[in-house]
Amino acid sequence: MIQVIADSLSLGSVYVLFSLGLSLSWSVLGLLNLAYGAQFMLGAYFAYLFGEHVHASLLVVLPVAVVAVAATSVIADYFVFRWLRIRAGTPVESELAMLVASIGLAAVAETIVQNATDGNSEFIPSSTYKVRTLGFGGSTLHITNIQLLMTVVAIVLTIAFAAFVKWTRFGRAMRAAAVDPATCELLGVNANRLFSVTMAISGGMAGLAGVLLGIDLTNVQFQMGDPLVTKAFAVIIIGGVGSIAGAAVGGYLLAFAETLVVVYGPSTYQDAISFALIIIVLLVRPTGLFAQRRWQRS
Amino acid sequence: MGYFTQNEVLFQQTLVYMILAISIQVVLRCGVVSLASVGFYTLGSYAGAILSKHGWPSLVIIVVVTVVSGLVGYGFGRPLARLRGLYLAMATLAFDLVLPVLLSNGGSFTGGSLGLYGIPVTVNTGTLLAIVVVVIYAISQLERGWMGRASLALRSDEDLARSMGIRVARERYLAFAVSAGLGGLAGSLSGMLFRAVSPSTASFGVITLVLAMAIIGGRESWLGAIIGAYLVTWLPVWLGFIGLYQDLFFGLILVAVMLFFPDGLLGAIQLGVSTLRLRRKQIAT
Repeated sequence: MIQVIADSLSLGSVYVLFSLGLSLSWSVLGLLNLAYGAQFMLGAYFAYLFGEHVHASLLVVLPVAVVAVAATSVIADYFVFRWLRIRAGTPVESELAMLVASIGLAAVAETIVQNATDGNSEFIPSSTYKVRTLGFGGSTLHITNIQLLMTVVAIVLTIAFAAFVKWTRFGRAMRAAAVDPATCELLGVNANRLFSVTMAISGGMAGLAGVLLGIDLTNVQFQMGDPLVTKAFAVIIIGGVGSIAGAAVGGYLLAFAETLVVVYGPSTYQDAISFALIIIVLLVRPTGLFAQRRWQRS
Repeated sequence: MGYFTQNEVLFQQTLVYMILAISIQVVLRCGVVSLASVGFYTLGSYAGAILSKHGWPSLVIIVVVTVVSGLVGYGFGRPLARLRGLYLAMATLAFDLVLPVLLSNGGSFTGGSLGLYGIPVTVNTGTLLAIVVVVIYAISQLERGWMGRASLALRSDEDLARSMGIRVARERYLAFAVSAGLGGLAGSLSGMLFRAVSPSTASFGVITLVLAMAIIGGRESWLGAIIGAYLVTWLPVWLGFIGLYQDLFFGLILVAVMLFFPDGLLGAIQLGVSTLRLRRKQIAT
């Protein structure tokens, strides 16, 4: 049972790390970024490249990958998403346009890595980043140090990010822009700059999740982000779009449910859980478990 | 004739995708991002395969699957009607993607994760073409008529549409029903054309493909869906020479269309034609 809890904690941390950035761009920009999985994969690919060819340590790889992937987000926003937002007549139109464009961007990024790796999955041996299995209480609990690190990072990031959005000037501007960008501009917020920074944070989180999870999974493949994107949708919907605490609770809840089904139930239904949860939550309580009054437009 | 028989399967696939692209377009035109018709496409393909294995005549299967899908789609419309924008996209995406899991757990009835194969081919290209023509005719009538104008109003301003006396909810249910029915129709056809059905029909890849068809061609008219389905299905053939970079090209096309031709290729063509006419008029006067 302790092992089940530990497994769901580390799986849940993966989901939380992955979902925070996706939830952010959805709530602030109305962008359901389907290229997020590709950005995550880029982060993991950086971990592979630097580990195998430069023999850099995690302390070097992590900031480089975070900055590089954040840069892809800013570039995508500057050249594509910004123009789609400006031109669209209604929020639904701009959401659809950005969604479709993000599919195209995902294809571009994935094809580049597919060609670089010949479509194979590249191996990151556990020796590269000194991954070890730690045992606690004899043999009751096994967890690797990278899983432990992911759990800590997920929890710290969630708290730090929630505090950032709640208490800083910039966080307040972000929340305001999520509700009404036009009024926000009238009140002296540079919405375009705000959106760029939001995209950078979102991309940086994708890069961070990619590095850590790439090392944990020990391999990198150009489509590795796709299954996680659909899981992240479930996490975001359960918690409520834009709610950071909601994403955290949703991530751990989904991971716990999945681990339970794998251990005790019909494990072939594992992938159905996230979709079933999306449908149920949207039908029963579309605002998610942690709905805030004016955070989102449902 | 040699060219045609060589590429017959691809032609058939193009025709099936045309119906599917129209089915997505019908809802998009109302300003509703629903991806549910890909799910009905998958269910329809299984229904077509199973019923035709039981020896049902193909035309009966087509009619039954289309009508049942339409009715189920109408029923779906009710609980989904209060969801907007990305939330609706999400709900319908979840509906699509839960199907492969259920179908691969369906035992011998659905053939598990391999799907069903060895299905008798009971539809030929001629019948398929005739059905596509009928669908296009019906949709073009809908577009010109009351429903087309109502959905245009709905997309540009819902409150305004309501104040003009358009029953917003009813239009949405109808669009849902038509979309689901066409999805089921396309599915039942593919079940009886291609000898095999598999749970992976309802995948992320197929959903993005169909969405791309509706968007690249243009959303304003059925002609856009036809152009889009044709282009997207044949692009891999034309781009065979660049090998693995096909998808990169596809992605760039998608982004470029969104940036420069928001009304799709059809919109671009119409714009070009009207500019030319205007110029000719200016020269004449």
